[in-house]
Amino acid sequence: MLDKIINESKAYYCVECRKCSSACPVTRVYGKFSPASIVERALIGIDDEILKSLDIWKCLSCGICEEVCPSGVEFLNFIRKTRNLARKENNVGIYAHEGIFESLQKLMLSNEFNASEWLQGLDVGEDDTLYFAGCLPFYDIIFKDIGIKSTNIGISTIKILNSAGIKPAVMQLCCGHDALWNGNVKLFKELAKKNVKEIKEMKIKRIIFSCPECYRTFKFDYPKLDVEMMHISEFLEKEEIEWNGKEDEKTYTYHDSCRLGRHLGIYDEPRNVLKKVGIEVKEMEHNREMALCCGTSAWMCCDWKAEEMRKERLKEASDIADVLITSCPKCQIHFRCTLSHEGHDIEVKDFAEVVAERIK
Amino acid sequence: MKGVLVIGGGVAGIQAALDLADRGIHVYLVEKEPSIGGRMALLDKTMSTNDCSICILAPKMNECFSHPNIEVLEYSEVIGVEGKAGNFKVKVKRKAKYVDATKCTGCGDCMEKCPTEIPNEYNSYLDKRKAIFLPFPQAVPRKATIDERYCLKLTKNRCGLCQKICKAEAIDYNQKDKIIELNVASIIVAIGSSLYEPKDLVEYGYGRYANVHTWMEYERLINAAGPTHGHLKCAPDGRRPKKIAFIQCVGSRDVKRCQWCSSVCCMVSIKSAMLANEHYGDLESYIFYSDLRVFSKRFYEYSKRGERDYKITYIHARPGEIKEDKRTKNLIIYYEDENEGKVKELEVEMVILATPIMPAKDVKQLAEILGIETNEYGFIKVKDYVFHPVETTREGIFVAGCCERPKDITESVVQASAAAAKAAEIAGLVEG
Amino acid sequence: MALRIGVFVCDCGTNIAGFLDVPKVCEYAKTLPDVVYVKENMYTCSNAGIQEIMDAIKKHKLNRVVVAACTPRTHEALFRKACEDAGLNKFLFEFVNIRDQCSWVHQKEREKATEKAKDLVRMGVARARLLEPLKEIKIDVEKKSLVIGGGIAGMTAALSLAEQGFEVYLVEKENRLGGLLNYINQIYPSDANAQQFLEEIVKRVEKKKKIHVLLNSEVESVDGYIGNFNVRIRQKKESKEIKVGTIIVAIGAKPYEPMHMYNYDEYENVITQFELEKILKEKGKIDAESVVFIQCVGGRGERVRYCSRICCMNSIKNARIIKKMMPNANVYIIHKGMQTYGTEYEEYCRKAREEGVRFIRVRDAVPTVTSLEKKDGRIAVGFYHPGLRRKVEIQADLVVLSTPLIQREDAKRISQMLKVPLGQDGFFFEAHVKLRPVDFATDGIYMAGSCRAPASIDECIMQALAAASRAAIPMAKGYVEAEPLMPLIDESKCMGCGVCVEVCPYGAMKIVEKNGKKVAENIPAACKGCGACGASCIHKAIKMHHFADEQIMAQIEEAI
Repeated sequence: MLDKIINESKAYYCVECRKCSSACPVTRVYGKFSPASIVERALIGIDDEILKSLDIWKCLSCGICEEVCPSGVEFLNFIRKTRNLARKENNVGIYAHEGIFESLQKLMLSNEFNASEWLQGLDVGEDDTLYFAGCLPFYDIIFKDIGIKSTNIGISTIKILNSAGIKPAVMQLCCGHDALWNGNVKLFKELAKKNVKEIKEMKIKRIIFSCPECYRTFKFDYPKLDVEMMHISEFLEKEEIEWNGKEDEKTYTYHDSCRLGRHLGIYDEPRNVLKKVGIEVKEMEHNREMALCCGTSAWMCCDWKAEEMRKERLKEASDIADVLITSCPKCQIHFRCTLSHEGHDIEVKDFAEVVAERIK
Repeated sequence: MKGVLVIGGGVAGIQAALDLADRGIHVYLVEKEPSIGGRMALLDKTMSTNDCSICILAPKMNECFSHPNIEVLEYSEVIGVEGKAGNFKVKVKRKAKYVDATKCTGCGDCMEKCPTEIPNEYNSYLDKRKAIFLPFPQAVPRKATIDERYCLKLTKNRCGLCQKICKAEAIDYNQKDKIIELNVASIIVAIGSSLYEPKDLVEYGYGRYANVHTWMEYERLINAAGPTHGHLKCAPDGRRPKKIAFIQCVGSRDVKRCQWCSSVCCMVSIKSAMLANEHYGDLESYIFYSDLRVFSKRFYEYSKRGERDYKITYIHARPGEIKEDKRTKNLIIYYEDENEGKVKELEVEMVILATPIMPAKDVKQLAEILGIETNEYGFIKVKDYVFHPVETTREGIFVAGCCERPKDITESVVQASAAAAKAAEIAGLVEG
Repeated sequence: MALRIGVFVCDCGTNIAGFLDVPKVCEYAKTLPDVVYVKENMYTCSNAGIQEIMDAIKKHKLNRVVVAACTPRTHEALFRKACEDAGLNKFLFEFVNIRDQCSWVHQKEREKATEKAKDLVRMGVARARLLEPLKEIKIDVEKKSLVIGGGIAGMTAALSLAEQGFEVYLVEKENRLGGLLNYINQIYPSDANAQQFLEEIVKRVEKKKKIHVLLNSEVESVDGYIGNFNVRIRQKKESKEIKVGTIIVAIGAKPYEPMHMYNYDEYENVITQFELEKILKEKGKIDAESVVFIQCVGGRGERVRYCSRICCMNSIKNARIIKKMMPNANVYIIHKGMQTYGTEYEEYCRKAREEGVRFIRVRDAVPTVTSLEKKDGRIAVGFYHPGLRRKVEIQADLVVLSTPLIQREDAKRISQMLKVPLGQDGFFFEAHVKLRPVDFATDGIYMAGSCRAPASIDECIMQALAAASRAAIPMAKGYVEAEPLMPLIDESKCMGCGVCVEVCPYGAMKIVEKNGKKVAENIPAACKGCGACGASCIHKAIKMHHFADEQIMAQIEEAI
């Protein structure tokens, strides 16, 4: 059963060196989960064990395994496809937040769905640039209790674009990232189809993302769209921007989200942009390719393991900085969640928020 | 009878030259460094036999240099080749040493007085050498060379101390590069290799952590003639380690870096661990491997001996990360212990990375000059891996040693003799 | 003639003079008996220093020369030559090492170092007094070679030697050339057709006029030494004698038969790699949906201790062939760490993975798998999986046991006949593993291929060429020179006990009959002058040239 997936993910190249497992943030805290052992099982044909196991849902798809794998095994590809197969066998995994996000994604398929209040008063229009805001408004509602205002990221992004003379068109719809990584390929395809259809009708030339997940999904998982795509940090790096001179006494560090970093290889751009607006990023012990994960992805398996990982990351950050800059709205939510009940002396802010405050 | 040109004076080049010279064929041995000896001259001990490397090589180096049929052209480079098998015309640049080799006695006075210190490549950059130098104490020929890139006299027309101090009056700042022409029947390429620099494997902290070294650095650290006179010392306080770890395949068998297996590293690490234990009887070593490659004669037995007699523990795992304790500079290795099924931490005081043998840095350039091909890995290509193992893609040009693919001393020597046989076949034909 | 000894003491710049008082050593040397001339040189090895030695020999009629300087390792030849050029026999030169053994090791003890240098010079002078002029020996070499074994290594060596212009006798005990290659289907890593290659190389061998192929033949006896081996060869019922200058041993090895192991003699679908090779070569197909290769059967401590080197690649090769023939078949290789070293082998292994061959690593423990159980015609292969930490079973229709290459039966006989050693593992033992990998310690005898240690075909070819190069050296020169350091045998004292023959590592001693008495005789061409014979002779019948007892004793007496 898994043979096809082994071939597609090049898992056959595995030399059983187990480097992936020793780098895996999940294995570090929970030894029973081991990417190496999953692949080893597949390679000797114990498919059943894998497809029935809850282990496959524990992977964060953070990509550090692929980063360190010397053999070129695409473990993320492997795990994603295996999840899809497992789902067909009624192994649907462990959803965080009672699965509310999957319900939301399904809701978003209906045309009546609208949550654009946050856009009121913003300078958006019918430019040939599209800002794809993703799910931002929904997080505000769900995580109100921990003070999340993800739409701030959206607002900041739009302001940045405005200051560059762009009045972007805005779309806010789930890209399907989570469904895809939850193994729900059917739902992902429906969301992708809807997005693609709308974008094609808009006749735009460029899409800008503030959410790395959306960007990754559009870039790698969508059918080819004939438009330019970039992250807001890539956009800003090419723009001539100026610092408004606003200073504070704070020290900053930057958290590479797994999608923007290891998945998309964008490390320098956000750092360069922050430098332009007067921020000297202090690096945490684990940075860039080796950055630690925020502990949860695709709203799966958010438990004590995730909490451990966050605590470690927040400690690394608070040891050296006052502000932790994130580049993914989900990282921000996860860190803030932990901060809401754990004492770490650190502030969490999104990259777009920080830049918007300091740009001329 | 026309002679043979051997390019590269490492153990392979030396062996090929001696085989040919001993049978009466004239050999030109071109070496780009000021001394012959190559990498083997810089190793501490040889694996599987634990012979002192320079001690068994030095007699061969001397034999080579004083052989009536061998002309050693050290500090020289091949810059042009014309003609064909049986009749190659070769241009060789003899770089100026600014020292008259007929007068220099290698006493070392000049090196003592020279005020310019530069990172010492012959000690893996772990210490400094002077601008006038011998690569290592047993250098052959034992003649000083001035490094024109750093000499104050040559760069800024200052100093001149070496000339003043030299009683043999051997210093000649006006020496110029010389181009000479050779006519040979065949050519053997034995230019050796380079080593992978593991800085981009950020997970292991090479270059960031003071106590993480490559295996070649370790060879110099454990060597009595090296920068620490053979004492292993750890940052920050120079204490000697009680626990060290070796990590295999750092950059090799890696699709993003060197795809090949470097062939020698497993044995090198076992040897290094043995030496460490010989120096300090209570020292324990851990070797992290993914397949322990101990395939040659008596290698497997050697690996078992290491485990039994030298406090070596083999751990099947490639570690995912090394962290440094900021205070003690100790290193914490993260690896998955397959016996227990969890990620474990091992704290050691020194980590040695087994980095692979790579094609020599100038191999492409030389290949172009010689009109031979390199293979997909960047090593010199042979006509057929099985049937023509020493023939390059151009007739009359042969290959030996690590420039063809990673191999140990034994295999380098075998290939060198094999190349000599082939070169002799051509030289013989020319004679006939 | 009266002794006239000249002593030259070198400053070596500051290498010696910086750490001990050279003028004092010189003054002291002048007081020693028979010393008529002493000179301090800044650099004895410089052109000026050499000239000084030569001039002094002539001017002061010196008949012994002592140089106290760096080390004989690098400089003895130079000073000996200076003596020779000045008309003095070079064996009348004595080197005293006051750098490596004195100034360098006592850098902070000037007084003591000076005293030690004096002692060393005194010892050197004492020995010099007793030195005797000697003459180097030159022995002619027959320009013919004997290659024992007509496999790939033997044929390649023979071809190369013939190509270099030498006559070769290629002795093969079977009725055809090729050895093990006759049974091989494909050659890795290029997947060339083995039989086609074999056919071509046999043709080349047969066409070469300089190669005399002797099939169905065995070497019966060998005596003599480098350059002059007398070899008796038996071909069926005939016997003939040839004379050769060099010998290459290339008798190959054979696959181990795993009797009473892994149910090999119980289940017909458990076969060896070698048997699979033959099936693939002859039938070109197998009938199995699932094939399991088991590595290290009998190797790595199970029956023999060593790793057989070639079995991993062999398994991959055959696994790939099977996978190509039957893409739906499951093919597993259970191993203890794949030995796919280098560039091409590693890539070959990766290709196998790509093509669907599955590799399962088990611990390096004996046995490789723990159970083979027959159930409904299939075999359940059970083993402990270290990654999963439990026993796993795989169903197989065919189990292939990868067994090591082991030495052939006649290795022992050939070892005794040629007086060359076998190692603990049963394979021939080289002069030096690193620097003389295809030479025997005995001059004029070489080895190649799997009789040295298991080797793949490419490695056999490489070693064969190397052996050809080594064997060609004395033959191309036409003679060998030996330093006259051999033993002098006092036949009146010698009892012919043969202890010296036993201890000689170079086969340079033999027992002969002279005047009705058995006595030892030295073969100068083979002798290295190591002195083992002299030291072991309880009848004190052996005296070593240039290292005579009285010379050494004189030194020792001066030392104490």
